[in-house]
Amino acid sequence: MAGPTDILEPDDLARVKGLQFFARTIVEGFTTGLHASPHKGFSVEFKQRRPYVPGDEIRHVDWKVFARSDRYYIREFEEETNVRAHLLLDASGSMGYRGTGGIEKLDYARKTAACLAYLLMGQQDSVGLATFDTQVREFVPNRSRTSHLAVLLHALEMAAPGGETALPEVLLELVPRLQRRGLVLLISDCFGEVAPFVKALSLIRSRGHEVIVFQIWDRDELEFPFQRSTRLINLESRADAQIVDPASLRRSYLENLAAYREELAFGCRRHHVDLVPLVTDEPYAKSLSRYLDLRLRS
Amino acid sequence: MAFLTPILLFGAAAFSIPLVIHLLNRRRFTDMEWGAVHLLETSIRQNRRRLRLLELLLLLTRVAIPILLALCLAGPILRGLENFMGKETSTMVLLDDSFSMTATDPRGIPFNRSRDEVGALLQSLPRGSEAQVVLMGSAAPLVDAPTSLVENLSQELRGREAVAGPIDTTASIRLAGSQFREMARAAGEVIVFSDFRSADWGAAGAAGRLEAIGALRDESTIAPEITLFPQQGGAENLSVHAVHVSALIVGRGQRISIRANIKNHGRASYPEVPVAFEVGETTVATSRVSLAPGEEAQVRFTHIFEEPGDQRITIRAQGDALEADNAFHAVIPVWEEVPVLLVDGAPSNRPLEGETDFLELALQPFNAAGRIGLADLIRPEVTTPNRVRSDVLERARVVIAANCRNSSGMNDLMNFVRDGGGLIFFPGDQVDVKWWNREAHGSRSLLLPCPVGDLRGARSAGGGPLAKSARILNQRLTHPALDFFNDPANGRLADVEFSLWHHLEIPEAKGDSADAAATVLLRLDNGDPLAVEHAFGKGRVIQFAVPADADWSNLPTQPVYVPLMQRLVTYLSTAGAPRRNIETGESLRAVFTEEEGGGEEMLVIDPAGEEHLVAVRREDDDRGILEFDRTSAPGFYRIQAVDGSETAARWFAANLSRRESDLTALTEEELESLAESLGAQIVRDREEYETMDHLRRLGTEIWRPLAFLVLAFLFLEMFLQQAITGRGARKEKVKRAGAQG
Repeated sequence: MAGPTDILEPDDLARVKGLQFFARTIVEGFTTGLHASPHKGFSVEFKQRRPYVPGDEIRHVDWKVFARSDRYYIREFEEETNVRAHLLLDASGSMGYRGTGGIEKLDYARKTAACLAYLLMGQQDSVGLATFDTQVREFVPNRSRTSHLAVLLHALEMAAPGGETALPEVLLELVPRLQRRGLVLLISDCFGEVAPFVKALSLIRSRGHEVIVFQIWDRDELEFPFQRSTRLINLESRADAQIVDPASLRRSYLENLAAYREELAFGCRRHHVDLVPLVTDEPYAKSLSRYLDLRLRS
Repeated sequence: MAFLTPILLFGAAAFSIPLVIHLLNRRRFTDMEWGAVHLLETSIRQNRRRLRLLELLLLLTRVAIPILLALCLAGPILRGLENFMGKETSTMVLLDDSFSMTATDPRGIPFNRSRDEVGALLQSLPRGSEAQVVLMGSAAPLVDAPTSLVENLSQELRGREAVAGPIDTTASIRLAGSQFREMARAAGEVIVFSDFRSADWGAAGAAGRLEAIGALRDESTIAPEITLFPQQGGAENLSVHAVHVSALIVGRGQRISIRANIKNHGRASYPEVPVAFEVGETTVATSRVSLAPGEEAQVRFTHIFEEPGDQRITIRAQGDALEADNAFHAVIPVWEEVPVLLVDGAPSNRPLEGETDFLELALQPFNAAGRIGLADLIRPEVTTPNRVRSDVLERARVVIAANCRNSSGMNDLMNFVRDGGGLIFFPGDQVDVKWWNREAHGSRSLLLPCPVGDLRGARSAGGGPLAKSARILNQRLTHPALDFFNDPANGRLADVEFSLWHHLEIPEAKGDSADAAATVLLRLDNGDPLAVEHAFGKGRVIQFAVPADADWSNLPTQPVYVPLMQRLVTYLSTAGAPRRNIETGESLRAVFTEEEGGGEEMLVIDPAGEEHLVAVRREDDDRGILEFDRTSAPGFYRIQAVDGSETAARWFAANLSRRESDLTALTEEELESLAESLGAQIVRDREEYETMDHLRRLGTEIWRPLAFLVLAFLFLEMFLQQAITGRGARKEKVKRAGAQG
């Protein structure tokens, strides 16, 4: 069954006003026809009974069956995960890059975050949000009630590209504020030195958080297709501008890029962090798909 | 550096296009906000210096390409001789004026073409240049000294014709070198106009030529450029190659035979060629001869001269394009008689046993045979040694001393020879060797060329074949008395056998005395001389190693004996007289006795009828000597007194050397090899010469290496572009695919 994302391209969707509508369109389109969660747990929806084993909570014993059969049975229901998800949105200057495709990286990241929030909220998970550049700009604590989504989306809409990135420092700053172990969804281009960043991720992991990094790329950043003489203005520091011949730099840029990505991927693997590269010309649903895949595996 | 079309150099301004584009590109850039600066920083830092260098190189390459292209199109010329361009030159022309240059072909006469070319070349010389023309055949410069008035040279050249004999290439180059050394302009040039026949320019004179050309280069102020200008004409030629007269001198009323060799030098056949025999201006006989290619045929005429004095004969063949060698002229002195004194050292009453019996027969064959109507030129008179005195000697022109023990009139005999008489000495068993060696070759005098040495060989026993005999060495004879025998039809000297002979030890030449210089006329096959000649005073002496009779050899019984003795006697009788038949270019020499007078000056009338007044040089003995060297034209020259009297009148004949008759030219390879050895260049026509001259004056075209340079720069530009912008599309795709992952 076709959903809106099969019909609408990201460009078209970008024109749709209102993150909520956008997120609903994407998420519902994505989840329609999906099977129910294979995870079983204790929720409102009954699934089956099984014999009692010592250690089971008394309150889950089905007393009606005990009355009839004089045996202890435990009632099992569909799982109610109740995950605590922390959305961390990088709103540094580099995220303000708008490539030849016309989509701003921060916009793409914001919409990705909205979709994830909508999806999570739909599963009754509690979702929190932090936007940051050199420091945390906005922090929305975790809530699972439905009205919380509007707060999240508002905070996302307010996010605007700021100054330089200080990703490791910000992550370290955030760690104490992510009180209970949960799921950390970092949406960033992750520009900067890899080692401190990976170290910060490892610290988060050590607190018991699952970490998924959605790395946002623009196609230009991957291919560096420029030919004409260009004055590069650093998005994170406008005073830093230099004239270059992109054609002559391309080869070494691509080499540096490959090395950087390799280092980052290695660091993430080592600390069991899922790294999901997203290119702004790809469907938004890809982030959801990758997220669910990862959740299933875990 | 010069350019053929310098206007195209303006095209070099196109260099500004890549320069401007480069500069504009540097100023024109687009602003771009960029986030992933951390990925570029190291690249920018690392590549900045390298890129700047590569960009500079690329800029220079791009600027150089239009400049080089413009240079290439402008026809650049590298000047080897900076001073040549538009400057005065020293030009030496070697012009072959030998008569082979008149071998006509459909394009005309090669010499006339060469003359016109030289004229045009002289006219085209830059103002102030000096020039000289050396006529190779005549071996003389056209004017006395090199001149800057080239118009005079052209004027002198206008009336010239190719009538000279064969060229001496070495002498011509030496002459040109001596003239060239007097020239001192900034650039020098030697141009050779010739038909380059094998006979003149072949390998024979190569060493001399190289030495002469080396001297010309080394000793000149400036090393000249050498150019060969081949001027080949027709290759077909028929010539009267040689004329042989059966006697050196001819007696009045004596029948002589004249043989003319007609040679076909070409590849065409000549059927029934008429050959005329002219005496004076009258044709007295005609014959016909057919000649296949390369063939030589003989035509024989006989004639009796009725009048004494100089007789002119001409053998003339008709029918080919090269006229100059179609006629052969000769002057034959006709004498009344030649008195010869035979001194018999061993007379006998029995026939043919006297020492001079064979000689008498040989010198007077017709008289001896009683033939009527045939006159003998030589009139022998026999005497004995003790009768040899000045009064007897006065009547003779030649004395033959045969087997004389000694001679009481030795002093008279010496005076006779010293005054111009001829002596033939034959040894024999009566000869007092010691006396002759003392009196005639020793302290007293040197009348004989060499001492009479010991006896060699072995006497035959019983008339059988000689156990140890010798023959005359079969060799080419060059002596004027003997060259007649080079043709076997005139007698075979090699048939004569000798059983005994005196060893003749040739003395070493003593100083510059002409008397002492002995020449071996004939030699035995064991190396011993048979006949030796030397000059003594104004006369000449021939000394034999064997007697005149048949005691020691079979010489007198051989057919060759008669012509041999006749020619030796006639040779000696005319030995003191200058030659009447010369080659063109040789000096003509006449001697006048006191009786003949001759005056202070004489007239020489050349074949064209032009009169030349020539001074007569007087010797101590009052003999007058006239020498005339302007004998380049073939034909008859007459010497006569200024008043026209006949007493001292003489005729001379000058013929072109027949070496010129063979028109075979050097092959292309040989010509190129010659040019290489001389360090010369070959040009075929004026246009080619002008092109070469132009290039030589201006230099060598170098557009080809420049074109290669442009190509190389284009490749360099591509390479630099690649180096700056990356490694091409394929890798780009690979990277892109990687980035997708």
